[in-house]
Amino acid sequence: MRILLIEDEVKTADYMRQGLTESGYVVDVSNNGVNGCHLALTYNYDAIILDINLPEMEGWDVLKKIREHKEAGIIIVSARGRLEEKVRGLDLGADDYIVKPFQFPELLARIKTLIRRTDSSPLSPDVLVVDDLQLDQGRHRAVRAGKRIDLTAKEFTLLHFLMRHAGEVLTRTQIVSTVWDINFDCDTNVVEVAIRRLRAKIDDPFDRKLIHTLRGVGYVLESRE
Amino acid sequence: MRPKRLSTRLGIAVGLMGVIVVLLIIAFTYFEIGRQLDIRARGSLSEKLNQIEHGLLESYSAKSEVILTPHILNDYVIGHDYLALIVRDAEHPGAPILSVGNEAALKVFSDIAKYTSGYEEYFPPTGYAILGMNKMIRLADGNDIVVTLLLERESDAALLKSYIKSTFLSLPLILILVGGCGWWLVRHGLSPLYKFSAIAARISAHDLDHRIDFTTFPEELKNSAHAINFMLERLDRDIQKLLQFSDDLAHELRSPLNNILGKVQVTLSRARTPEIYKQALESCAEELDRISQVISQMLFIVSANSPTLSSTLASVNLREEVVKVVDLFLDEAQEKNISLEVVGDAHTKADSLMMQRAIYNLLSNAIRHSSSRSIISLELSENKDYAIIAVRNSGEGIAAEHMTRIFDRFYRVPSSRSRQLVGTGLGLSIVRAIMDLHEGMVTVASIPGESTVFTLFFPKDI
Repeated sequence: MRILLIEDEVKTADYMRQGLTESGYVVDVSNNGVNGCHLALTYNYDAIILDINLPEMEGWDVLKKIREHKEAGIIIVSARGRLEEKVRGLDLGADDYIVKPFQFPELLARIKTLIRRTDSSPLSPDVLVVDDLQLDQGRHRAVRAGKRIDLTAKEFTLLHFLMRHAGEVLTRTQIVSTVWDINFDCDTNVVEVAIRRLRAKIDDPFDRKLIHTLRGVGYVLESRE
Repeated sequence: MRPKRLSTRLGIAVGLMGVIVVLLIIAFTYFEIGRQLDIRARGSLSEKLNQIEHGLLESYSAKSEVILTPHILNDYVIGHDYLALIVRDAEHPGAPILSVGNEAALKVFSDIAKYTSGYEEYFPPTGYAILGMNKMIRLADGNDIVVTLLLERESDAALLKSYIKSTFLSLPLILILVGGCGWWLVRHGLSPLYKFSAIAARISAHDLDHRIDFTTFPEELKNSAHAINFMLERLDRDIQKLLQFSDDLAHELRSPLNNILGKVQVTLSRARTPEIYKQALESCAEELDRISQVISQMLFIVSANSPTLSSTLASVNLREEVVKVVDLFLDEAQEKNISLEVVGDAHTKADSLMMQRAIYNLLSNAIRHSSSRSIISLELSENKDYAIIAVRNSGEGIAAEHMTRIFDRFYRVPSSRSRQLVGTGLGLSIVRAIMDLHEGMVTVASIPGESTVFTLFFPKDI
């Protein structure tokens, strides 16, 4: 998967390139609009991440020009968060609009969604498996190491979300949005409490822990040796 | 081209109006005087003619006597040089027996050779109007004679003429006088306006203290002056708020930034184990998360204050929204042994995301400040104007001195200053901003040591 990052601020470009590369993407970085536009039109990218405040050529113009010739998914990343600007971005053909400061895992998730949208990947299987933990969506039950685990509806939704994105870091905002359908930033510790309760059921009785906390970032479910 | 100054413009207009009025008055009096002069001329003519008739009958008994001794008749017109007298034989009207008096009048006589009984008025091409009257008189000898008395109206014409002349001469004077007075009055009346501009010239964002002193103003301008003073008052207050706001913001961001900087510098000051670096980064991430939350919440409050925000209103079932938010807190409440109950039902139009946010902030506060083993109730109701959500909890309550300030940005009740407990200090400001945006309101009532209830009023006709 190849991603073009058009961002003039060196530090931002730097950490984004690192983060994206470590997540398995091939990343080209351009630090101005003209060059970025040229790259976007020359090569085929799966996704383009575009800043709006750019030297030489404004992000809006870059966006227009790319859209005239290419179908690649475009995510705008901008410090301008006003509604009119978001609408303008989407009207000009961007697929997504993220306001700085953003949580990096959220950007990853959105890139993934974008590539899946343009790509159409298979639906998630009925039974999710991570290590010795199985989640059967059809029968609505979880089994670890052959032991049946009783989950509440919320716990099931949470576990399902974590397992579907096994290995990915999920932020609290993402979890609250998906599991509780609350779509504004809130400083809730509902996720901590819910994760604690879920751990008590699926991790505490076992030696190998599957749910890991990344302080300051979020949570990830994966089997670590 | 219109003159630029209002006073000049109004002065000229008033002057012209004065002239028009004066002209109308002149025209009216001119015709009225003419009419009165006419009536008087006819009256005197007919009176004179009666005198002549009387004298004629007394002095003469036959036509021949008239021819022989005309001096008796002459006496009637001598000394009145505007009169002319003509006596004719009724059978030979073409040849007058006698004609004396005013020559101009006699000149037009040929035109009135015929006999008429009433008044006749003649306008010769030159000279003045001539008023004439005939009378047929039967003498004692049985002969009819026609007596014609003519009156040259020179003096009447002269009177009217001098009247017109003098009034027209006075017109420019009237124009100047009335116009000047108008100009002065307008200028004087508008002089308070100069105070407005004087104040406006002194006002700037840094200096909003000036007010218009309108004690001497006329009533109409008093209102405007009052409105402008009121506007300045509000601007002043809002700018003070903005200053306070940026002060607060800088202050609020300073301490987490300081924490980050300090932590990073201390960590970097010597070589450490990866575990320590990791911890430092984690701590930084947490502080930064806090900063970005403060910023996004501040932006939310600011954008909610600006009326340009196109808020997305839709029909909302309040109970659904409340239950959704309550869901978030179920576990936490259970751990604190607090039970949450939702009673009642209500519907209105609102932005559901914002409504959730408001409920969230209130409920989050309620849980934070509830004593354990208590009940937090969310009561929904509606009356004809409002859909109402009341969040009631028992706990420490809010002391009266904090009541008015709890909705201020970053205001935290001092006793609970530990940041862990109170979040960003923006929760209630956000609630109020959301309610302002909905043109609704939020109220609070509290009995210290017992309970607190926050109530949201969402208007129904938004």
